[in-house]
Amino acid sequence: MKTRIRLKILAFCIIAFFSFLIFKAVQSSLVYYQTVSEVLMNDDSINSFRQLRVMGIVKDNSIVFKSDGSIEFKIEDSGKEIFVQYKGIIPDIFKDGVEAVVEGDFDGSVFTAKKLFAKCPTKYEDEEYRKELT
Amino acid sequence: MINSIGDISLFISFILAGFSLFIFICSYINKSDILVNVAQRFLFSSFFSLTVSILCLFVLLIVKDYSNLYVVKNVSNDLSPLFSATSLWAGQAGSLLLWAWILSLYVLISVPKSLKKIMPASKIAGAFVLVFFLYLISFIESPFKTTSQQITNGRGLNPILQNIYMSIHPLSLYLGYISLTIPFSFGLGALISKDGSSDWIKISKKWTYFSWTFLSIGLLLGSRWAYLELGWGGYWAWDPVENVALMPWLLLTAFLHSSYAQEEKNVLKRWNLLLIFLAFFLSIFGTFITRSGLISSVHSFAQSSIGDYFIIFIIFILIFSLLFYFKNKNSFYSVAEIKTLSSKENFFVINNILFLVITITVLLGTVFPIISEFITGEKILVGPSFYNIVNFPNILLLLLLMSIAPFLPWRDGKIKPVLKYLSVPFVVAIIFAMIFYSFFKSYQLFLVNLLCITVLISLVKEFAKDLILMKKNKNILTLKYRRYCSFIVHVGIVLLIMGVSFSSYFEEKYDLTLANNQSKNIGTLNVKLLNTYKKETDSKFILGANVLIKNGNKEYELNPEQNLYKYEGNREINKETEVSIHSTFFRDYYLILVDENMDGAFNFKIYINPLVSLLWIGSFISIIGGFLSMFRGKITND
Repeated sequence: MKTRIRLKILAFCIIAFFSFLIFKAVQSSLVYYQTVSEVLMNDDSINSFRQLRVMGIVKDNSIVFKSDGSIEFKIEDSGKEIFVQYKGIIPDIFKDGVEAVVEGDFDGSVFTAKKLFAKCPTKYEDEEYRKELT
Repeated sequence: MINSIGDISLFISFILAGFSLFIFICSYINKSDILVNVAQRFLFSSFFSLTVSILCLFVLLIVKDYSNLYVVKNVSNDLSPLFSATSLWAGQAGSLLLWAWILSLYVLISVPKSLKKIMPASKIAGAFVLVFFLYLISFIESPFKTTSQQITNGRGLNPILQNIYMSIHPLSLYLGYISLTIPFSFGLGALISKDGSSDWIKISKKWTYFSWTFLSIGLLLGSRWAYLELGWGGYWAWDPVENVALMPWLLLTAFLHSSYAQEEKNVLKRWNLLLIFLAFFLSIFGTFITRSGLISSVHSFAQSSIGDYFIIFIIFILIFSLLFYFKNKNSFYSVAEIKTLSSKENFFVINNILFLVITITVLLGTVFPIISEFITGEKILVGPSFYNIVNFPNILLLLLLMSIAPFLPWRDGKIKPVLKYLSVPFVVAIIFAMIFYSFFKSYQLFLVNLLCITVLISLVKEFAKDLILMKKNKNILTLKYRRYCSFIVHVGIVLLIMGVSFSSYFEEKYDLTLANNQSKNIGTLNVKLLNTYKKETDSKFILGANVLIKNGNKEYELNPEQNLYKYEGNREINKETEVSIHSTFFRDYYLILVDENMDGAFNFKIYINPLVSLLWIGSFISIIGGFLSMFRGKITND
């Protein structure tokens, strides 16, 4: 019986340790997922200490390739837009009109992206296309 | 014509499976063996009919019959026959049809002959899941919908999915996922029939090894594909879609350990039931997540109506199994007494807790946006650092267990002899870890290496010991077959962990702009752009480069390309980056041609990933170990 109790204490310690760790890890890795208009509505002070992930449509003809390999573009959503600067891997599917997700910091005027995603095309369904056909 | 045959036989298959389920329930109530046989025949007919149906879809895809909507959506004129065939599982409806077909095969052949006791009940569980999937494809997501329009070309398959890894990857994951249904049905069958013996564990063994091996292959191929094709130099991103595939694997790994304890020592009976239930739920939950559009992932699957059906199904199964669990759990009581804390059983319990913690971490990270939106109204994610912070100490603890537990006896173990046994491997490991430290200077890596190498050397030591004993007793390796299978898997996992650690801590990234014949030095490397070329094929324009990388006296020629498709069609993309990788044992040179500059120079990205090879080698070894475990019965009859 003593063994059982010891095992339970040990199990409890492990679980307590990891619960604490999970709690801490969540705090340090939060990323706020917002749309363009939501970000623009936030106070600058809120945006300044938040890691943001913003989703929007890449505005037509807004992509500019710089000579240092970085790019600038605008993403828009319900009439609002954000100016984005990014340096890094550009996904193949990234271009005008796609849904892009950028992650990084926003200082009120320029969004400095550390990551850029574009929606991956492994689509199982495409409602619009289906409507077109039937 | 073929379309109608496929559609009708799908419907017939659903009806037959429904009958079969009904008769299995009757046979359970009346305790009739004859009815079991009748139901089994219905199941066979259902499988036959479903086979006809899936063959019809197969033919439609091969001949590119554009009157079928599924064909239109997944195939195009320029698609090769191989990828036309694999389009069977490229879309939602087709993949569900394949899912149902595999499931019906599994349920049909999973006859626990020796175990009449749990037979009808476990078949009921299996047939019920089958009927659910057949209902989905017969009425909600049929692959046999037609269009009356004249269509001459389909949407085709996205070029980045036209990769051999990507065509086998889903199939392998399906084989693994779906085979989880069988141990689940055995467990539920035992629970319903109040069969408290460990028989269901014994007959589940082959299924769980099978499932583990194919899930592993699926995960490996998926990450290999991401590494080769996605062009960001990584193999794992903690994306929700990746996470949901990992969770059942984690729980299954836990189950392989704890079920071993039950098989040998009749302990952890209730725990094993709950564990296999949870693994099954998470596999269905994963399917639900990836197809309902509930969680936004980089792999976007547009919203679809079948999510609701999955949620109802999950809740129903959950309530049903928990109901029986609380009703019958007293039949599952472990009587065995464990004498000391350091016995194998207890180490398995700790192992299970750690695996459960990883699973919960991954689950929490995956559903975090949903929870946060529900509570705060804001969508908040957790980044990859979340997983790394929590999993790092967890992996260290698991490695610690991995170095000790294989040498502990059951029930009445003492830790001292094991520590003594491990002393030599540990000292050797310190030396190796110090050497690595002098190169990489990271104490985290030092800890990982220390434990990994201890495990490796201790296993090799044990093997050497047995080789010497073999002179006296020739059968020793056969007798210990299972033990050695697990050793092989452990060796593979340890190499994998080392590969992941090295490559994620010491990845180097450089941006580079080169004109023709220009060369630049980065670190110890010399990179020279030999020449570039432009080609045109029927479907695309190709911009390619030949690049020479020199490291010391070694030279590697790499050939990255950038493809621009002439027509976008419905592919949604027209640009495709062909990464060029030169892999050596010590490092991978990973080169991307980004684009051409205004002034005629070319932009490149180069990644240097150290020891990624260990990751692939390790995974491969583990999978070999998994395969060998499956064939155990034939050799040792245990």
